Amino acid sequence: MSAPAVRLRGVSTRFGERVIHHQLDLDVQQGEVLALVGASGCGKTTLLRHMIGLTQPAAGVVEVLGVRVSPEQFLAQRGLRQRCGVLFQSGALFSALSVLENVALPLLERGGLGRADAAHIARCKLAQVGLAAEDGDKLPAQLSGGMIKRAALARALALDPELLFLDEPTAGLDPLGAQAFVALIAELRALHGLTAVMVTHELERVAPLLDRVAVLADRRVVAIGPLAAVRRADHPFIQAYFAAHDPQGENHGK
Amino acid sequence: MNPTFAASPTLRLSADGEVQLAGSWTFAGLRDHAGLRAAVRAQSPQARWDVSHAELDAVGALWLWQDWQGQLPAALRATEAQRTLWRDLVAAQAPAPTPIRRDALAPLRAVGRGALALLTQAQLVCMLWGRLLLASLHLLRHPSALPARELSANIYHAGVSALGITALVGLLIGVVLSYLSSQQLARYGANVLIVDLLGISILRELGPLLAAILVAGRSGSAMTAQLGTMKLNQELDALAAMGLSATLRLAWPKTVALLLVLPLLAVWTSALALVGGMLAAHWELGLSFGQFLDRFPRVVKLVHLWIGLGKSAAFGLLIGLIGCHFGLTAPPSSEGLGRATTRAVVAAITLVIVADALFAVLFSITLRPRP
Repeated sequence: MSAPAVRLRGVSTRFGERVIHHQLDLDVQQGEVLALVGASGCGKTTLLRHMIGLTQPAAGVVEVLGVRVSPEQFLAQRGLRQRCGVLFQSGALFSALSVLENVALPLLERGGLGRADAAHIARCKLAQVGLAAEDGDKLPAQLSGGMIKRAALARALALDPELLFLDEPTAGLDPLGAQAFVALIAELRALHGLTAVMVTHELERVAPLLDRVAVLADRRVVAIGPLAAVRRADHPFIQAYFAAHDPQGENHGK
Repeated sequence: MNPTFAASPTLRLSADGEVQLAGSWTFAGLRDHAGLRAAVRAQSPQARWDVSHAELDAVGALWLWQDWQGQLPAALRATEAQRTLWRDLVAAQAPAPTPIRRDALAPLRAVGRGALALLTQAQLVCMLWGRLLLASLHLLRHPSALPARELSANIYHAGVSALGITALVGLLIGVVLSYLSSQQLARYGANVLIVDLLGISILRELGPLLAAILVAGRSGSAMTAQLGTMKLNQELDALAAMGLSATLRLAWPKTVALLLVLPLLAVWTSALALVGGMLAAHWELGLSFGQFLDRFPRVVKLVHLWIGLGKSAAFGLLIGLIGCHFGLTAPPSSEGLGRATTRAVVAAITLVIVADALFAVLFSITLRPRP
C-alpha cells in the first residue's frame, strides 16, 4: 500500500483554554474520498485548515503528500500547495477578478504558461464544472450561490491537483444543485483519480462519493470506516448523529 | 498511474513507426523536459500515436494538441479519459476576437457619460439628504426612536478621538502662518496687525477648513468603508428585513454627529492655531501674550466666529452625506469598496473647498471696514 496522502499524528489544537483536538490521529489514503463529520464547533474545519497549512496545531505532525506541513516554510512549500486544491465554504472567489481570471490566476502564478494557454485551460475547467462560456466574463458578485460553488471548484481544479480539500461542498445548494455537484465530483474523480477530503453536514447527499467517513467527537476521531460500518459503531454521539440524520430509522443497522 | 511515483516523460519511435509516449506528460513532468515539445513537433501528426501509457493533465494535453497543430492525429491510441480531456479543450477554444470598431465620437461620448454619471451621483446625494430630513421629521414626532447610542458613539469616534490630531495640525499651522506673516509685517513696522490677521484668517477660514479636511479623511472614509462592508455582508438587507431603516439607524446618526461635532472641532482647532500663532508672534515680534489677548477682542469681530461655526456645521453635513452616500452605493466587491472609499474622501474634501469658496463670496459683506 502506498503512503497515505494525508497523515495526522498526535494532533492537538487549543483556542485559549478550550481544547479542540487532543492526540488526534487520522490517515487519508491515496485515491480515496474521505468525509469528516461531527457536531458544529467540534473542529472539523480547523482540522482541514491544518491540512491545507493555513494553521498549525499546538502539537503533533501534519503530513500532506509525504511532506510535513509548516506555515513557517510558506515559500519553500509553494510546490506542495500547488499540488492541492481547496474549495472554501463560501467560494472565496476574488471579487475584483472575473470568474475566468479567478480560474486562470493559479495557472499564471505557477509560471511557465502563457496568458492565452492559461485562459484556454481556465475555459476548459469552467466547462468541466458546467459553467457557460459567457459566465467566465462575469464578476463573482453577479453569480448565484450554486454558480459560485462551481466556479470555486473550477479554480480548485485549475492545477489538476492530486489532493482536493472541500469545505461543505453542498452547503447552500438546492437538492438538484447538490446532486449535480456530487455527480460532477464523481465524474472528475473517475477521470483523474483524485484524492479528496471533505467536511460536510450533509452526509446523505455526498454518500455516493464516499469511500470512508471519519467521525470527530470527544476531541478525536471516534470512528473511521465505510459509512455502513460507522453507522453501527457503538458510540453515543454517532448513534445520536445518525438517528437525527434519518428519523424514519431507515438503514439503521442495529 | 500513481502520481507519487511519476516517471519522467518519454517519446519513443517503435519499430513499426508508431510514436509512443509514456511517463508523466504533465506540467510538472514537462517543465524539466522542455526539449520534448520540439520532439513532438518533429513528428508528423499524420503518424500513428500511442499516448495511452502516458499520464496527461490539462496542460500536457493542451501542449500536445498545440504541437499537433490544433487537431488530434487520425491514428491515435488514447484512453477514454484522455479523449475527454481533448474534447473539453477543443470545446473551450478562444472565441474569435470581435473586431474593434473605431468610434470618432468616443471622446465626446465619454464626456457625456461622465457628466451624466456626475448628475446621477448628485441626484442620489440629494435623495439621501431628503431621506435624512424625513428621518429627522420622524424623530420629531417619535422622539423615543432617537438612535441615541449610535449618535453618541459617532460623536465620540468622529469628535473626541480626533482631538489630538486636530490640535497638533492646528498648532503647527498657527505657528507657520504667524511666523511667515510676522516677517512681512515687521518690514512695515506693522507688528501689531498680526493679531488682526491671525484672528480673522484662523477663526473664519483655517480652523473650520483644517478640521473639515481632517475629519473628511478620518471619519468620511471610515463611514464609507463601514457602510460598504455592511452592504457587502447583507447587513443592510437584514436591517431592512427587520423593518429597521438604514437611513435612520446608520446614516442619520453619522451625519448628525458630524454636523454637531465639526463646529466644536473647528473651535478647538482655531483655539490651538491661535495659541501657536501667539507663541510665534512672541518669538518673532516680541509681542507679549497680554498685548495679543488685549487687542484680539477689539479687532476681531464676533461675526467671524459665527461664520466659522456655521460653515463647519455645513461642512460636517456635507462630509456625512458624501461618506454615507458612497458607502450605501458601494459596488459589492473588495475593489469597488476601495474605490468608493477613495472617491468619498476626494469628493468630500473637494466639496468642502467648493462650499468654502461659495461662503467666502456670500459673506464677503462682513469683511468691510467698520464705518
